[in-house]
Amino acid sequence: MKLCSVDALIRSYRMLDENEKTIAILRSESLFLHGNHDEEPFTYYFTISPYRGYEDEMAEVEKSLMNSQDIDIIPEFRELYKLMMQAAGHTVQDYSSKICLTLDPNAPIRESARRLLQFTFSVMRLNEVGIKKNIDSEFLHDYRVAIRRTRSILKQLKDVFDASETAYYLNLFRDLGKRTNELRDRDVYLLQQATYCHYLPPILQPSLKIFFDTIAASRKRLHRQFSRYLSSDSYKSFLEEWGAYLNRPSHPEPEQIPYAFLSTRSVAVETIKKAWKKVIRHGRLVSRETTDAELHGLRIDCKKLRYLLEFFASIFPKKTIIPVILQLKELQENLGIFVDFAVQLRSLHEQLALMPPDNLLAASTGGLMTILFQKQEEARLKFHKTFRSFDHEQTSQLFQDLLTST
Amino acid sequence: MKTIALYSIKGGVGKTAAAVNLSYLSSLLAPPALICDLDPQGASSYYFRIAASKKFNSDKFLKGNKKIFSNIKATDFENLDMLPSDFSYRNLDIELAEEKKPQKRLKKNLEELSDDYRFIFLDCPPNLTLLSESVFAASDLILVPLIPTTLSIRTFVQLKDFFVANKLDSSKIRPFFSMVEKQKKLHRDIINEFGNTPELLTQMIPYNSEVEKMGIYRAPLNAVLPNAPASKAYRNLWEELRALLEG
Repeated sequence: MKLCSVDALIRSYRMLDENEKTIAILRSESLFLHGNHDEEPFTYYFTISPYRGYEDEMAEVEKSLMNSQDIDIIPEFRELYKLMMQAAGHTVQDYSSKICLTLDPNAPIRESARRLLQFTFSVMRLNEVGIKKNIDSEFLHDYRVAIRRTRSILKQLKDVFDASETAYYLNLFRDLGKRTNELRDRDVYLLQQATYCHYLPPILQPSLKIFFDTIAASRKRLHRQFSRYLSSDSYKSFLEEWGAYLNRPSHPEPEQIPYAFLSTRSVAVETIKKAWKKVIRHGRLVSRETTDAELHGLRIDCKKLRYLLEFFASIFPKKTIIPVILQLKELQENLGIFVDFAVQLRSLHEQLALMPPDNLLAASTGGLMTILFQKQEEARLKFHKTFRSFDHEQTSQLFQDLLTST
Repeated sequence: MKTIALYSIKGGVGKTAAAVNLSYLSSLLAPPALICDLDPQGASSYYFRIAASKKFNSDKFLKGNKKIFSNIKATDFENLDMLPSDFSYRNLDIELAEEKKPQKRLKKNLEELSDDYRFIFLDCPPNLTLLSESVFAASDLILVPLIPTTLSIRTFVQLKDFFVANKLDSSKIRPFFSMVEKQKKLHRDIINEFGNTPELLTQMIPYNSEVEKMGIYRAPLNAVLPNAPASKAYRNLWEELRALLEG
């Protein structure tokens, strides 16, 4: 995504020794916003590139330059980037898909929920351009996370809003999420391309390329389709409707939705406690066989808990919430690996039916499936151990500390 | 990597001028190139305005690897580096004598640079010592500039005899006529008499006062006056060499 254009005016000078031998190139670079050459550059600096074998001489020159008052230290690239963005009117790091709101623990939950929804909505909007321009798969990823968080807020805090309205919007967001599922699947595949190739012996690698070419082609089609949808009238009217809903000052009657007026703190403590207990309860029910369905279900429970912790992170002291999130993360990673491989296996199996009949392709797909299955089974075997360390007195104490810390 | 030595038992035959210009041409046409100034007089270093760093001496040169590496300096020309001469090279042959396999020492050192350069040129001192023997072993081609004079031809015959006597590969030796003045009868006669020697390169380098002015420009003639008659001759000589080495 182009944020600004910068023109650089570079002048090069040769630095000579007493034999008039070039020992380094000195460049002075002045940076202008594109087209603003008449104005003062927003920054300028010098770089010195010593010729091979003249590093010692240049170190001396550099030292004497540094001692002089008018010379600034050569900016680091990161500094330079900040300066450019500043000149173009941007603030670096003003985007993050992470929830970075500071909620008021005493505010009615309805207000806090609304702010959370406004935040996830803004994250969605910020990622649309990047998706359309096909810059990086991260844009779609953040967009999808924002959708999931929106749904999670609507669902887990459902008593905060009018039930029929909540159901209506949940439906819209579920449909929107569905529109991106296949596209994201393809992205995940393509991101794994190199890894998957290395799983296979060299002899089977070329035919896997055919497989990935098919994936890339269908990704292209899906991307076009979704980009068109993002520009469509129906998406625009959805955005308007949802935006208006979030900004509508509503004063529900306390008797209709009593929950809406509870303090953010009390709702946070209650919902987190409930979600945590659910993870523990369901986790303990996972059988010795650890079936796919059990692990899939538990993964969703964990995600719900994680989202709640993130939504309300700002009202808890950092030192109590971070250890809890770290504990949960470990369990989530194990379940994530398991589910990801299970999903990939299933979709590989589906792809197999659609692929051209080719022995090598079949062999490489088979090889890949075997590896993915092994990895899935490794994660399955690890589950009980990982869960035991989560369902442990120490973790329990961490949650107790958290829930009593506000 | 191919190594080309510019060598002559006799001094003042246009050896350094050839090393400087050929290495410059190779950096242009088959980069990258390195020129090693093995002559303690440091004429080719002078032409490139390069002095060895104070810490460099023959002892370090023989140790090879990183020591050599850190003393390589960039010339003012892209893709052309130089290992400058140092006055202490005058003792190089004495120190070589103390090495276990002196003849192979240089070859081994240069092999460490084989990933960095396509061509290495050695500008050698005018004598026949242990260092020369190392040069002979390390080179793919030994270029010998010959002024068409009786004395010059005599030293060339001496060199060939030395190769035979020491069971060295004399097929590496390729002479070419240097500082040729066609208006001199002696030069014409010797070229006629000697001209069909099979190992002789066909391209001759004419005597050109511009070559002597290289000491004033302190740069390869081919970089300053690419159209001078001698520059054109160096260019043809380079093409002839390259065809020999890279076929």
